[in-house]
Amino acid sequence: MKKLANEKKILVIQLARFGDFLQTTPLLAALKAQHPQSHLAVLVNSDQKAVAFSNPHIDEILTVNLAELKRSVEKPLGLSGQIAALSEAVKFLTRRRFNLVINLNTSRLAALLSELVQADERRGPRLGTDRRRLDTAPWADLIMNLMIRRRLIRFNLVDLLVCYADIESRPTDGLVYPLSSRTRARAGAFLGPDPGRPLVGLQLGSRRLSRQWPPENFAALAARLMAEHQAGIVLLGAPEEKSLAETFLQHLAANDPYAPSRIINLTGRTSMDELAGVLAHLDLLVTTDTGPMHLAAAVKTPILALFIGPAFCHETGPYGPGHLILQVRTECSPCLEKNAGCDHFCRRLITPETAAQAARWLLSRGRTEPPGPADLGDQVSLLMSDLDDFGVVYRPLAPNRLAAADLKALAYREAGRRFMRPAYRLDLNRLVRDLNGHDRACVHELKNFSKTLKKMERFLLEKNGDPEAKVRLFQAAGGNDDLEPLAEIVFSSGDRIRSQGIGQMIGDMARVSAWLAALNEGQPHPAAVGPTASEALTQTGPEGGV
Amino acid sequence: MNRFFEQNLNKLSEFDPELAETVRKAAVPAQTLILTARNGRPTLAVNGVTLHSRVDPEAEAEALLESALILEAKTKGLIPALFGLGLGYQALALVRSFALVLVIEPDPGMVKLAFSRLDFTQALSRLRFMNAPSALDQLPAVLLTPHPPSVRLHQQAFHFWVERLEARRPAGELKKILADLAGWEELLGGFDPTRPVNLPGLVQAVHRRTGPLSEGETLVLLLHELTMTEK
Repeated sequence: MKKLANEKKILVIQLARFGDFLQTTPLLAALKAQHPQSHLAVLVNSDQKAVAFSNPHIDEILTVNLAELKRSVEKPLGLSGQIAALSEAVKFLTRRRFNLVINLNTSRLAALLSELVQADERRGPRLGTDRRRLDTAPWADLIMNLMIRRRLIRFNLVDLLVCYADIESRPTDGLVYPLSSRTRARAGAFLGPDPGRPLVGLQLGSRRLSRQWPPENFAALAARLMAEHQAGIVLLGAPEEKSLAETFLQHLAANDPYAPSRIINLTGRTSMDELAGVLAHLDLLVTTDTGPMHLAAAVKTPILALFIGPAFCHETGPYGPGHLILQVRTECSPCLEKNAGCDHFCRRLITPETAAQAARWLLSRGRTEPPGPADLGDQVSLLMSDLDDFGVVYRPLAPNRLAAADLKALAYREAGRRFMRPAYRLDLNRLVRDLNGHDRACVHELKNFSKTLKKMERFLLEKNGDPEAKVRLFQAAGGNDDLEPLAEIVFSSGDRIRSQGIGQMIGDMARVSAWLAALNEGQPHPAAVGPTASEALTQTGPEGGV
Repeated sequence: MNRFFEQNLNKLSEFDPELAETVRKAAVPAQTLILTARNGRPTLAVNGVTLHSRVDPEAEAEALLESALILEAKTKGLIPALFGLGLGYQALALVRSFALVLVIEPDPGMVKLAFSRLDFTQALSRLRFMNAPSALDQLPAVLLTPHPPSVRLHQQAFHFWVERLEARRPAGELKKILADLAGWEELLGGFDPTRPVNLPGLVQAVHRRTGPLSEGETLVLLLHELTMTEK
């Protein structure tokens, strides 16, 4: 990608929620680090203005009220009136010119809004040449196709978003939410004098019921932490979560009528800034996949995250090292957001006892035993976050939990990340370490994959450039879940190479990534030998393996 | 019926004797209830929905003149078409600013009720009552001006009129209205200027085109995204 001069104007479009904005902050930091003199603007939904305002890297905040935008054109104005009203409402965008516009959202709405801004260069999803589908960079295509089998994903959203800054290594500082001493002091007033005992925050609510841990489970966990650690419990949440807090307190009172009086209930009482301050005072936050979880990660508070239903820690887990995650791992997880008809049975798979043991381990800084396989059962995994050269990873703590899907997912990460960070080179030893050496067959297979990878790299490196080529990864029709993924490279000529099986798939991806690297250099690789893509196709046939 | 009614009806018969006769024979809708606003003026409720302010209905009607819709009509020389007569406060306010005001009121009983309460004699030369879309065909550009309580009461009828008014707006007119937006010239160039243009048709036109998206084309797709796609 082209490098921008320092003084250029950059617009980043992030219209999603508060947690998503926080996950965008490393990208903003990376852009500002690359172009310190640039004018960095963001376009956010108007209800995210406060969190954008806190960011030190932003020079200008543009806001759009999507709900209001919809209302403005739903008035009975007639076609010309509607278009005139819409034109007026988005005038603040059409009058602007930026050198670089980065759209981070995969909705058509965001893509269209980004098209209204005049730009020299655009990154991120945008309307394709057919003016219907969204088009994006090959590496983002790869991720979008991986989304079909989400459990194979081992890329955190933060590390993906930061790729738009075209950086060489992983984000340096994690999520960004600066706290002033005044904010800390104000938050301290909520919590009272230092009690000399651990403070544990509980974020009860979540966007959807399918992601929520039951309030009675939270109550049982709180009772254990209060009894065993004399922990101070702080309830956090938005105003609309007050009823959830009431339910929690009723369950807590069932065993100890005096317990609710010892709870610091801040549900609906804190502003964004105050919430960040309170989180910074905590020794631990227990939460599901929520905005406050990302805020806690930004202020470096240890997190025990409970990932349930559609939530999948490898995609949106807490960023930074040392957090613990209890991830539900059923046949159907991670499921869809709108899983109508489901009784959300997986909400109850993580027991209060297991959560208490994990919390105890975090509070004791590893001096106690973490939950083991016997505590977790077959449908829950315990993982710990760590950082590698690319970004955050979540490594299983309990042994013997790796399955074929884990192996494939790790292979995808190693092969796929080369698309995003061309400077990265495969570290087989790290892969083997990720497997914890518990499954010798997996290690053996990985070594075979490595051989295939190198062979395929050579195969691709001599190819002529084809900037329109697409990579698609999907499930073979009728294939067994997770076991028969299919990789396909479609060249602009219409030629395609399709292969089945993990070894070949990694090979395909590696070939394409190396080919892209050669493209970036503007010339074929000097070591280029072997047949061209068309020749290879002739040899293998359109449906053949490579 | 009070003195206003006969005076109004006599005046109406000068312009539209047929309608005057229809109104004379019509029955006032049973579900209407005349109330007295705080300033002493009559106000109206239908099925529990108050159609005018219960404080000062005339001031409320005056405020309509400052609305974006009416300002747009003034700027672009459009004729306002008021959906729903009520007791007529809005219609009486509009005739002070426009040479012609259309009133879409399918129930002659409502006209009878309004005529019995307010003096329309000075306004009737500028008011034209519509009860069928075919009457629109002789008129130039019209801007539908909804009276929100009436819309709440007659949603289906309202949308029928919206569609009807939109359908009669030819491509050439849309082009004129949107002339200041980049990319419209080319987009609408492909349409027959005498035929109506609708949003799905515009979206299809955008899909057929190639090259960089113009601002006008982007707005068409954005409008489609905001209004036509499933929420």
